[in-house]
Amino acid sequence: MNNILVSVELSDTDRRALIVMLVVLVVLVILIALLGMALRAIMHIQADRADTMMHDVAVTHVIDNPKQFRMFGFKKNNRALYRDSLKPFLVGLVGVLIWVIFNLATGRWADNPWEHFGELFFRFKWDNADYPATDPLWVKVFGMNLLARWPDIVEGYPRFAVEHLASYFEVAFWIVAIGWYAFCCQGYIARAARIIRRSHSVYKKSLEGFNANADIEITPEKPLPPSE
Amino acid sequence: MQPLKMFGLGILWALLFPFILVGIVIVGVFGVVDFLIEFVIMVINFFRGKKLFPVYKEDEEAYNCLQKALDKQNAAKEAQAVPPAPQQVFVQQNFYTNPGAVPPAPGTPLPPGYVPPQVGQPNYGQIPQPGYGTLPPQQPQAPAGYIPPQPAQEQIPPRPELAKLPNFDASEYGNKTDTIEIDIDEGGEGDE
Repeated sequence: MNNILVSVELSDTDRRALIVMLVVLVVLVILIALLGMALRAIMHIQADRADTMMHDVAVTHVIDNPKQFRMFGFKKNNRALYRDSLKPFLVGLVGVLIWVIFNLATGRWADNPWEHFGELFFRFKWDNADYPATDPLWVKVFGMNLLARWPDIVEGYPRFAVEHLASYFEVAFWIVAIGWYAFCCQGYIARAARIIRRSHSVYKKSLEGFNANADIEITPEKPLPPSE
Repeated sequence: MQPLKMFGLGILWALLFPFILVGIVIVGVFGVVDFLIEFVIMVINFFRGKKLFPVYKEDEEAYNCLQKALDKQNAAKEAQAVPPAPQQVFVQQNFYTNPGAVPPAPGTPLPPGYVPPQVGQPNYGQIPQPGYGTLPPQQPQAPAGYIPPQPAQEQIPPRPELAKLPNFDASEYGNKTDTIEIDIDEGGEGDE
């Protein structure tokens, strides 16, 4: 019994490390929950547009069954996605135009604009060969490769090269276009989910609390006397 | 409790995020195909002279239904509308002389052909001249019940309160302090 108690005894350093880990874990959970709440709120706002799209046809009974509702909702949602994605596609097209014009002028078709764009950020040494054998970056724990330390930064980065200026703009345009388009796609998913849910709820007929026999009223009245 | 529930839902949605991400990728690929199809439809509509995004048949029907309902409602409202309130008309009276006429001197008979000033006929562009046909300047009449402002009256200093007088007992006078007049003369004792 005494041996067991000794084995779980923690030093001050261990206790501190445990507290730090707990705090980090709690902060991480809070951050994840906040991100999830934001995601949920955004998707709700995006889904509200589906209600606007389908309101009139449902209220006026132009569409009066769930299948028709879903089909029409799908059509309108597709058009909404197209109209939404016109702008990000245009932004992406601007990036492509810059890339084509720049390469026509310089003839450097083989260059990777993403590689050039990466120069604007820190770079890390991810290869184990860059580290001494006594202090490797990756270690094997139960057959899994795990990071053993923070990776070192590659010297000379971030840097700005004027000859890569076009690449910076191209990639910036493409990143904006991809992010924007992803947002549009998320809106499409939110609207589709709302349309499917509404197709069930709008045309739902419930018998909850209804009793067919309750309508039958028997009033035992005396018959009227015969007229003279 | 509600914030805690929101928090839990947030964690749930965060766990769902990878699946949403997969959905976004799938929709992203579908969206490119959809873009091309819709773009072709748009170009065809453009060259046919139609709207780029024509209104769907169902939407048009719904719009017509709503419009009919709205017209019906408006017609019912118009039928119930109250008659308009009577309008008050103010007539401006002009006392100016006729155009081009020379006003005779006051006290002289009217020359032949001279039309005295008419009431109710505007005579624009004529400057009113003193003499015949013009009214003397009038004092504006005060409306009924109007009391002109009075000059400020001389301020009467407040009388000293009886209760505050020295050696005065109100009970001696049956507490009728409001009818008692006292000669307030500090040097009165030696007058007799």
